[in-house]
Amino acid sequence: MSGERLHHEVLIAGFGGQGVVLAGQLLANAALAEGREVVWAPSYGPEMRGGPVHCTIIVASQRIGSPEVSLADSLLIMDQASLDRLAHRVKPEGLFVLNSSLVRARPENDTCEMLSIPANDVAEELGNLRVANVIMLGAFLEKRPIVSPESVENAMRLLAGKGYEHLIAINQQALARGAELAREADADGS
Amino acid sequence: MSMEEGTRTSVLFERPRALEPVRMHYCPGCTHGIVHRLVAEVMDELDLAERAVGIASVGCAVFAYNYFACDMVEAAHGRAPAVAVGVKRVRPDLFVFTYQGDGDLAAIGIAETIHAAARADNISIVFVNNAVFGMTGGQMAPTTLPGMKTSTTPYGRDPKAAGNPIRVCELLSALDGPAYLARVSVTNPQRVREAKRAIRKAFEAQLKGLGFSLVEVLSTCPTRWAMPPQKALKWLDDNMAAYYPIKEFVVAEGLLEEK
Amino acid sequence: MAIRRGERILMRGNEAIAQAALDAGCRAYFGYPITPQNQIPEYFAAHMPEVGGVFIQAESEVAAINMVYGAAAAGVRAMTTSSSPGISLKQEGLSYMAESELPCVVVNIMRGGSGLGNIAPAQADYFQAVKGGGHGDYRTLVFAGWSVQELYDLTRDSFDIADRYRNPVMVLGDALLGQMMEPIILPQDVIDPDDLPPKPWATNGAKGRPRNIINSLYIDPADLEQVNLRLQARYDEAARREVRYAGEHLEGARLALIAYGTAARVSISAVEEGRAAGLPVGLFRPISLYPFPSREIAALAEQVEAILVVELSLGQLVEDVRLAVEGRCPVHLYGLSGGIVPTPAEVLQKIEPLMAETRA
Repeated sequence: MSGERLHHEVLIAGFGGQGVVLAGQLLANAALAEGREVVWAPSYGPEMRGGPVHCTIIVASQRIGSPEVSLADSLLIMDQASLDRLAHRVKPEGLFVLNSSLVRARPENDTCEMLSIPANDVAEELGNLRVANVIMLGAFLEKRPIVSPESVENAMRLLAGKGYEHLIAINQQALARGAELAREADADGS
Repeated sequence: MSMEEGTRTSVLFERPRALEPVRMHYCPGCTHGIVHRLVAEVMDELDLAERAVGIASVGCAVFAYNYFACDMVEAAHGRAPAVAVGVKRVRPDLFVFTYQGDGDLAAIGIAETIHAAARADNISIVFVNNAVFGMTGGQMAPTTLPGMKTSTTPYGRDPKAAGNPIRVCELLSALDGPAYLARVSVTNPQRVREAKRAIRKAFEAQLKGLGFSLVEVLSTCPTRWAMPPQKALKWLDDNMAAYYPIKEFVVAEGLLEEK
Repeated sequence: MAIRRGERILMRGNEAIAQAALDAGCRAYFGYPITPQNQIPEYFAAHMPEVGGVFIQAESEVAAINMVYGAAAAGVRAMTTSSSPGISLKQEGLSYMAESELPCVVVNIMRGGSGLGNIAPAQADYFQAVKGGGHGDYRTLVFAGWSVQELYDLTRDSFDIADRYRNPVMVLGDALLGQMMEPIILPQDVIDPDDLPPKPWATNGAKGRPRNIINSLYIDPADLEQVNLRLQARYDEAARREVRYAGEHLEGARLALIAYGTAARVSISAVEEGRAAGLPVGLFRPISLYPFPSREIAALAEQVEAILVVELSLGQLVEDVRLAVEGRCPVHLYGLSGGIVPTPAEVLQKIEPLMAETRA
């Protein structure tokens, strides 16, 4: 990411409990550590467990003006309802990363790049459903390497806090597995 | 008391040091003056003036900041307990009291009163209940008795239309926060002495860090009651004291040890 | 976890505001929960005990501002925060504090209004903030940040300014600025309240001095007039000393956008896109909203051919701009309401026809 001008707007969406906010904060902290300008913003809605939630992250090499993301460069979609709600919030040449475990219908969009990852199924294979968010993040970063996986892993250590250190290893695995799935998808041409 | 050598003269009665040597604005026969004096006497006895902050309220006692010889803050209507909490919490070493009427404390300021009591905030409230809005012209107060005539209950307070009176001490007694709650009156010398004892206990509760204390003083308003002062005192004894029992409601253990 | 200073960290606007207050020596916070500013009281609840300060979740907004009144009267740096509907409830207390010449800092993380409105970003409390808000002949000094770092800096400075002028100071943010995270560098130096200048007017026990009275009741009009003239003299002094603003791409600009806070963040993106497309457009950003940078805007109006005010309200900031411009150039308004934030592209769409006009 040397010298090149970067301005990438990401929207991550799912329902409460899927780790949407955490995935965004991992990305934001990784960008911060790499010296980037960054904005992380939550969706503002009445807070409800299980309700729809999304957050936006802007990673840039230059000062960030508008903190509000209208059309994102990339959408990370954790469930069908979020896709239905936010499928239009992406630029024409943008990227969809879809959690195909919970997204059945693909968006009708023939200009964007589509990447489907069965994040929930893979997370269960890894032994913890709750790392689905990090699998999605790993897949996204393989496609759009706006921060390095190492920076995300450092962010995991920063955010894990006391009592959660044991979860770092499985999250590292999830990040790597997500990247692997993205590479495989590319090879399949899906 | 002071005694000059070589004379037989001694001072038996004088203005308490905690009262400013100024003329008060209260109406003839009003008992605010007595209550001010009792507060000041207790402040003198406990040597509080140099570390006291008094909170004046809105109502007839709005000018209390001119009368007490200590630091004073004039609060917005009903907000005196919140202001007192602000002072006391940042300076627990100070002695903080409010002086409030029934409209201020029991109408617009009932929330601040209840919550200061519930939090056991270590402040003392002198609550003067004369069952009427005095300063604004004699309108109904939350403590106006059923049937009592005021300028906004010209046919007498009808509880069906105007609601029932609030018994503040009884209301606050339901809370765990208060360390001392008492209702007194000042209609005769014995009642005045009892009232002073209650105020002293309330102030001591704060000095001992026991929590919230409040003394409700049943008072007369000859002007708004449209009665001569003597008749007003009797009316209070016969009517108000019947509706609002004179007694101690809460006495924290730490205060009982005094005896 | 000890907070890291002197290096870039991520913080929410709301958290940065609370940390700024602690760093400014604020030792008393009173508040009542309301979205979208709840991270502020939560931050104080967690961190005020570490510095031996006072935190109370008050029974109401009304009680909270009056607790601030008491703490400020006792000479301690005190604060309350809220969002639009709650700030309305605090106006009584602010009026009393201004007339009683008491300093405090109040933050309004503005949301959509009027009424209960919604919890999206808005700037519709501009008039309330800069025109006095409550009853009477007073003003609050008002500052508006556009980033997490600036909200920290302004909140921190506001305590000094409040003490200097013995007047409430308000910091304006909005739902977006309050809740978003951005890089911020916390300075190493923090203020120890014990090092602050004494407040000889405080009601903190009349030991060895005449008693102090904190009061806003002056029955004789001549007395009240004197107090109000004294307040006015302070506002005049603030107009000389405390005006803050920033300009971007104003060199050679034929059209100037004027916006603050989130509206300015969106506007700068539009301005930079416009400049990239060869449009001579710039941004003037008031940071102090009262005192208002009227002189600077008047000078700007001499330089540009037109002004476009962008605000998240339907014509509030634009009134002060027009008063400053005094007809020197046309002043246009792009106002949005109800919690709607425009995109840079939408602002650019407003810029383009105006640019065409200036060329004509």
